[in-house]
Amino acid sequence: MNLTYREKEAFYRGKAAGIIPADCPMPQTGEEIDALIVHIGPMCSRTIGCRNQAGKLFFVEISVFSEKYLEETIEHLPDRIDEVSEVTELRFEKYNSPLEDLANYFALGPAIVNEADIAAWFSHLTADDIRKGFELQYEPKKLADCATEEQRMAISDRIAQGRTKPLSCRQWENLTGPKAAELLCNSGRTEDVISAQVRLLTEEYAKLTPEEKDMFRKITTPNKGHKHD
Amino acid sequence: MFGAPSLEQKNLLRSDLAQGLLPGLRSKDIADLTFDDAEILLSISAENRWTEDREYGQIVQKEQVDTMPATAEQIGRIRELIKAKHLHPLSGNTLLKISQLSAKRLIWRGEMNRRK
Repeated sequence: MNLTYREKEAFYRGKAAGIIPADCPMPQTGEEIDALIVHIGPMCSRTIGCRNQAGKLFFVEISVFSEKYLEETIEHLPDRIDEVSEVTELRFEKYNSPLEDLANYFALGPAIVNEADIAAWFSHLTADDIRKGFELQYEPKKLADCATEEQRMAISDRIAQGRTKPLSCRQWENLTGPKAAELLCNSGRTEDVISAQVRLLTEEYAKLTPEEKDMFRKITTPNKGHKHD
Repeated sequence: MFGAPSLEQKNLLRSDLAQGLLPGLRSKDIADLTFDDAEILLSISAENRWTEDREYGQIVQKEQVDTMPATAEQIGRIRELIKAKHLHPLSGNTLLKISQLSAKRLIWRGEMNRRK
C-alpha cells in the first residue's frame, strides 16, 4: 500500500517538526499508519461547512492537537482562511488516520501554531520546532514508472462511462504504467476505448511545451491547500 | 468524488433539511453539491437525529415516507396543475422520479399559483 501525496508530505513535515522520530520509516500498511498515533497523538478534527463571499457552501477539514484550540480556530476561521466569509452550523466530527490529520494541520499554514495547543500533547516540542515542519521545502518525488497522462485520461474516460470501477485517491496517485495498462487491457486497447474528445485533448496536450504542460497540470490538479476533496 | 450527488442522496437531504436536521443548509445549496459534500451532509444529519427532541424512529419513518416515489394521485394532481398552467411543464421521466416530499411541494406551489 502506498501513501497519498498529502500523507507523504505530512510524514516528511512531521519528521522535520520532530513530531515523528527521525528514524521512523515510511509506513507501508494501514496498521503502520495507525501506529503513528503514538507519535502524532489523537488529533481533534472537524469538518466545517463554510460559505464564501458569493454564499456558496463548501467544506473544510480542521485538525489541531486540542479540543479547546479547535473551537477557537473554528470561531476565527474567516480570519484564517481567505475564502471563508461565514462559518455555518454544519459540523461533523472526523476520525481520520494520524497522517490525514497531520496533513490537515500543515495545510492550515504556520499561523495555526499555538504553544498551548502543542503543549496539550507534546512535552518535548516547542512552537519553533513545529514551525520547522511548515518551513520544510518539500519536493514530491515522482513515481518512477507512473502512468502516462494518456493512460490516466483513458481511465478517467472509462470511469466516467461506468466501464471501470472508480479508483481511490491512494490508487490514483500511485497508479503505475503497467497497472494502468492492465486496467485498460481488461476491456480492449487504449485506442479502442478512448473517446473522440479525450483523443483530441491528448493530441493537443502532446503539442504543448514543457512549461505549458506544467501549467496545465497545475490548473487541473485540485488545490492542495484545504481538504474538501 | 467530484461527481454530482445521486438522486437518493438529494431526496434524503431534502427530507433531512425539512426536518430541521441540517441547520445552516439552504435548499438552494443542494443543486451545487458534489457527491462527497452530500455524503458529509448526510453524516451530519445522521448524527443530529440523536440530539433531536423527537424519537429517532419517528425521524427515520418520516425520512422513508418523504423519499418514497410520488403516489399516482400526486402525479395526477401535478399533471392537472401543469395542464392548467399553474406549474411549469415537467417531463414524464422527471415526474416518475420525484419523491413524495417534492410532489407535496409542487402541489402546494401549484395550488398557491392557482389561488393567485
